[in-house]
Amino acid sequence: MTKKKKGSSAAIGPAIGGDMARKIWLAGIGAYGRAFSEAQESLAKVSGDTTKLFEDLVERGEEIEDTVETRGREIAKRIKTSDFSMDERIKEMRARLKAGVLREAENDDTPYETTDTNRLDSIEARLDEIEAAIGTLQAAQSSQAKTKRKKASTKKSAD
Amino acid sequence: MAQKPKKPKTRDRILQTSLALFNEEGESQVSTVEIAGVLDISPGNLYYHFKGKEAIIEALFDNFEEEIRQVLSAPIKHPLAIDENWIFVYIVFEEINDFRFFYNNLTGILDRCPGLRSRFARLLRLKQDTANAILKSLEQAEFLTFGSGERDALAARIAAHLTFWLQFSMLEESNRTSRQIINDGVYSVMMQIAPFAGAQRGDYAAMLQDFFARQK
Repeated sequence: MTKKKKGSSAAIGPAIGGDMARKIWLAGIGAYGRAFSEAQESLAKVSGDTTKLFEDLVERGEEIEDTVETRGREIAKRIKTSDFSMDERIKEMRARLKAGVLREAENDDTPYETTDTNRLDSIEARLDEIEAAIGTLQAAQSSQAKTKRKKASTKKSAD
Repeated sequence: MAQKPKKPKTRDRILQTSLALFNEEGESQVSTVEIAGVLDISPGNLYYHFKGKEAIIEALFDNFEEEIRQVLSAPIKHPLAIDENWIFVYIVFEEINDFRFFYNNLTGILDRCPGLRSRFARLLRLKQDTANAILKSLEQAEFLTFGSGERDALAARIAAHLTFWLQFSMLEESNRTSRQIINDGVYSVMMQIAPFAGAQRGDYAAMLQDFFARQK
């Protein structure tokens, strides 16, 4: 891997296609490495401009590329154990997918079926109440029946 | 729409519990009576909400369909940043894994719930469209090069891979965790792209191997 001066436009590579694999790799390091939280911030800022974000990540990657080359194993270990988190990236992207969809839902002028939903809710609540009441009633009945049987047997023996 | 906070609706609780039980034990092993038992409600109450297990499956499918449509549509509407594409593949696999009872017994469940057939077929087409949109964006970025018909064929293969990977992995009986299965599934998708990366093919494959080796 050839070294390139960081920050200059040459660092991005002469042609988009020619150096793409290396750039993806660098973008990866940029995102997983120490700069991850910063990358997230810039992600929020430039969410509409993915090209800029990519270049930004490449730059960050190149900043620590030297470290990767000289301390390859060490940094791989660090990425694995501390700063790197695939889960975080997945979580963050999920949130953005959801946000995008929510914005669309707000623009959607189809009315929500509030009446029906509310009605269903109240029916459900009522059903739960009834079920609880039936439970209590059944318990009461069975204890009452026991008492009755007791009384009856007492009466019988008295006769 | 202001709403007062309330306890989870019985209907939602039934769905959550059913999904968890189906995924853990396999849908065919779980009866509605058991679901009611776990929830501590009467079978009659459950029947009021769902007239049988098929109705539960259909309601679970409604939720799944809505969520996966949201996810799959994103790259069609706006191209993702190049290094986001594989995060995206993770998310699709996670969605499918959350609904694995269905994917693990597709033909069996679709036979019993024929109403879901055409809806599932539409999801398959959406998966292909999504894969195609992502491949197209990588082609436009000059990262991938396709010959005539190759991109469509690869998109179809990725859609099939997403659909059957869990089933395939389960049949292998390799005792991998869900996480590992997803990880291997993403790796496999990314590797299928490698032959189209032209001169960078070797670099790209090496990068993938290195990254996924670190995920173990």
